[in-house]
Amino acid sequence: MADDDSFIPAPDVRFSRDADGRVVMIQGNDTRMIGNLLSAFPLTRPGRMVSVRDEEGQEIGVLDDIRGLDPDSLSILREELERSYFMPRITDILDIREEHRVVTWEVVTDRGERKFEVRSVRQNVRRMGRRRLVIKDVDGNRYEVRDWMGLPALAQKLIQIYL
Amino acid sequence: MGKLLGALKDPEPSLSPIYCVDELPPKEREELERLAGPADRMRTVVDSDLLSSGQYGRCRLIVCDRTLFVEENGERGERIPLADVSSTCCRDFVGNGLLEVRTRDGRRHEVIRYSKTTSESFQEISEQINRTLSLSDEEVSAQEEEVAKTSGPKEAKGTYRCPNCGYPLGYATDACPKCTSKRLIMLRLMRLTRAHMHLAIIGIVLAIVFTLASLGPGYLVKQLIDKALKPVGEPNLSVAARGWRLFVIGWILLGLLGVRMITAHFRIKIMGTLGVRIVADLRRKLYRTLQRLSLSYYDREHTGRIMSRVLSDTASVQRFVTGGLQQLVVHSLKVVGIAVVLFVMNWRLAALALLPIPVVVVLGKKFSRRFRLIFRSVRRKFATLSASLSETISGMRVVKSFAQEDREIGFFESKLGEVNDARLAAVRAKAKFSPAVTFMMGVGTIAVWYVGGGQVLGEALTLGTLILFISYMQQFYNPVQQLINLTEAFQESATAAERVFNIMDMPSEVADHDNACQLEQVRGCLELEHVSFSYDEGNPVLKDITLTIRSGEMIGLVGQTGSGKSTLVSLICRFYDATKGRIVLDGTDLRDIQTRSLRQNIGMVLQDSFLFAGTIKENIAYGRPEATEAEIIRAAKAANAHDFIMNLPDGYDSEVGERGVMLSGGEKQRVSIARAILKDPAILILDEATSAVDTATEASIQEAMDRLVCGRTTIAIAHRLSTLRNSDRLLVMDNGEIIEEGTHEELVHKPDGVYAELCRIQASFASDVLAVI
Repeated sequence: MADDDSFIPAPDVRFSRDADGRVVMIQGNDTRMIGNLLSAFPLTRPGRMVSVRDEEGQEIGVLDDIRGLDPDSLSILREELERSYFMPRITDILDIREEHRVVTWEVVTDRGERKFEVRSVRQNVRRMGRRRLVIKDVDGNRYEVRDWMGLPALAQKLIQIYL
Repeated sequence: MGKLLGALKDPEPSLSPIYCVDELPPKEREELERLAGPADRMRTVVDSDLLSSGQYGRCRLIVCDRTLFVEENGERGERIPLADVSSTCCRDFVGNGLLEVRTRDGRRHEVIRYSKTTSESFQEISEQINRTLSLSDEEVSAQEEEVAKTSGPKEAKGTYRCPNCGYPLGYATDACPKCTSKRLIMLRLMRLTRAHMHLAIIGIVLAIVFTLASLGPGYLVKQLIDKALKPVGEPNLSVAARGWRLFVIGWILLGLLGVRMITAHFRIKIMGTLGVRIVADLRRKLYRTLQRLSLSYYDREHTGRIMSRVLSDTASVQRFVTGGLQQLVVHSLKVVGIAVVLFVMNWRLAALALLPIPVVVVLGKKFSRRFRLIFRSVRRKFATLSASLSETISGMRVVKSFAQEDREIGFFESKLGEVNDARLAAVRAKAKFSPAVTFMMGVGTIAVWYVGGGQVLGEALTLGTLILFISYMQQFYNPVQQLINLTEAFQESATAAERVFNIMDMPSEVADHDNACQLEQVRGCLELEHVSFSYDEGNPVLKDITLTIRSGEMIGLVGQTGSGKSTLVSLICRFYDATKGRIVLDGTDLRDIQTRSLRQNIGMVLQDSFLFAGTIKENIAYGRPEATEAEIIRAAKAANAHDFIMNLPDGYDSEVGERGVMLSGGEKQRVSIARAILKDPAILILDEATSAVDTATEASIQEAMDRLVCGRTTIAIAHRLSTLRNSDRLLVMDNGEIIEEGTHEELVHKPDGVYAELCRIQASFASDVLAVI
């Protein structure tokens, strides 16, 4: 069985950026360069179980919960996790049109307006829970609808068919 | 003549073909005594249905005190003194069998032939004779072996028969379709409706209102004609008064139309809702039943058939409840109501109008029967078509690799052709029936016009009444026809409902009895005591296995396919119950443990690591949905799966796809190992995959397995040499028995050992591979 050394309790560590902006993890007297920070459960538990990897891509350990970090480390981690799993949130839907089984969405996200295409709706529009959707477009970009019932009325009507 | 009379007067022979000589009628007894000879007394008679020439006919084996002989057509065959007999045996072939007697001089006598129907009785008599000859067990089994070599292929016993009516059932636990009447089924269906009774009642009330509203206009038209348009008996009525009446009647008609529309709207809604709810209830119950049925049901039924029960049979029931039932009510009301009204108004005309009805009904019944048969044939052929379609699609890999696409197309086309032919037959039958009925009804209408017209001319009947008559007549024929069609629909949904109830009534073979206990603190010590098992009678897969597995011990099961390894493991998981003997876990018989509790303590990593559509996280946590993320990650790390999972874009939240199609074989294996590790069971069953993965993955899977197995009672169906070496004990199985037992070291050095031989073969194979590299 894997021992618990592979889990890193958040209060034990700090993160900061070096002069070049690369992330450094400080644990006790140990300082290590971090290559990558990946969420193990990016869709269901984004801030928990973060795999911390060195520059070779080897996993150093799994950080249990980023909320246990100090504020500076927390914001660094948030930035890093957003980069490793980029998923804008859709706040409004302007249009959804289907042609030859490719669905074109025109949406407004928290990162700005966006137009994208989705095929195989069954596979690429995932329902996570009762009100949440995760959409993957033909290029692999991901979008999230936190609560489809919280969208404006027209948007709800448009999206209903794809639920 | 006497013989014929005698045959007629004979009492029905007992169902068992073996009977005591005393049960024979005196005349037959005399004849047989003559054949037996004065020195001997007859004891037992066994009837056979097959003559020595291979023709069907009756012959008998008679066992007496001193001899046995066969009687065929009143003549006696060879007579063998029992003192000379060394043993008897039954040799089974396809479609028939032989009773063979061996005498002490070494000769073998084929005494009597029999068909499969009576083979049981000959087995029995053979055993009886052998017992009286006091053959030892070894002699018996030695003989059995010899006989098996010269017999034909063994086939499972035929069918079970319903104890009530003798109807042959497919399987012992099936309900007998003959004994359950269709009425009972409908009653049961009605009982299901009870929960929604209020809806049903409202629906029926609405149906009644609707019917009345439909009949109303006919009467109003009569009033329209007789009171407004061409008034009878009121010559001084002004045009204005007539106009007023026209106006009033017009509005009432409109009102009735409105009523009809509204009641129809609500009726459809309510009956529709009723249908949807009943079917939902039915499907729910059915699914629950399916979950509790034992594995043997799933072994013998096709997935397609089970699915069609849950989905389309229930839909058929729904159609009937939604549509058929209310139509039944509406049409019956109409028929009765109209008939009464017609007769009250003018019985002569009514008789004329109703004359075609009996003809229509008779024709209808005939054709409806024919329809049903044709329809059944269409359905059967369509089911064959869709089954073969689903098979081809799932086996597409094989089709393509053997380049058999054209042949498959040919098969499909021929089956499609059959379906089309059957459908065309149905179309043709309908083309004959419908117009003929319309014609008959047209004849009736014309007759009424003629006779009624005459009455109007003779002023015995008002025009309005005649029109009313005609219009009601038209309204009468349609419901009659619909009612006939309904009996068809009734049959169809009764059959569908029957199949559904059949499943719901099936007892789970591996059921918990009331005092079954729950397991706590499982140590994992297993004992098998004289366990025997056959999937179907006559073919033992496990023979008298006795075995003790200590807690924490790792057992490797080795043997060729068919030696019984997987069956043994299935019995430990209690997917089936042993037919003989018992299995004990930590001192408790498996049958006294709640199945659920038992299975919670057994983990399985099978050859085909079946993953459900869902995320990796859900699959790993399948046995323990309450597991925390940390536990899931730990299990995945132990299974060497964490790394490849983290390389997936969605990590543990990645979808696995149907049957895990998104993952490679090695990845699926490791996820299923992680699943077992997370469950942390006291007992582990491993059925190693024989398919090769690349050496790197192999090594990591091996490591994962080692971690999984550590400290648990493990039963591994082993293929890898490494697993075998690590096992505390190896059991070599062959033909349902354990033939060798020991550690790898002991067995591999055993001279003439089966295991040793297997190792040599594998080693030489491996070395060939190495040489190439």
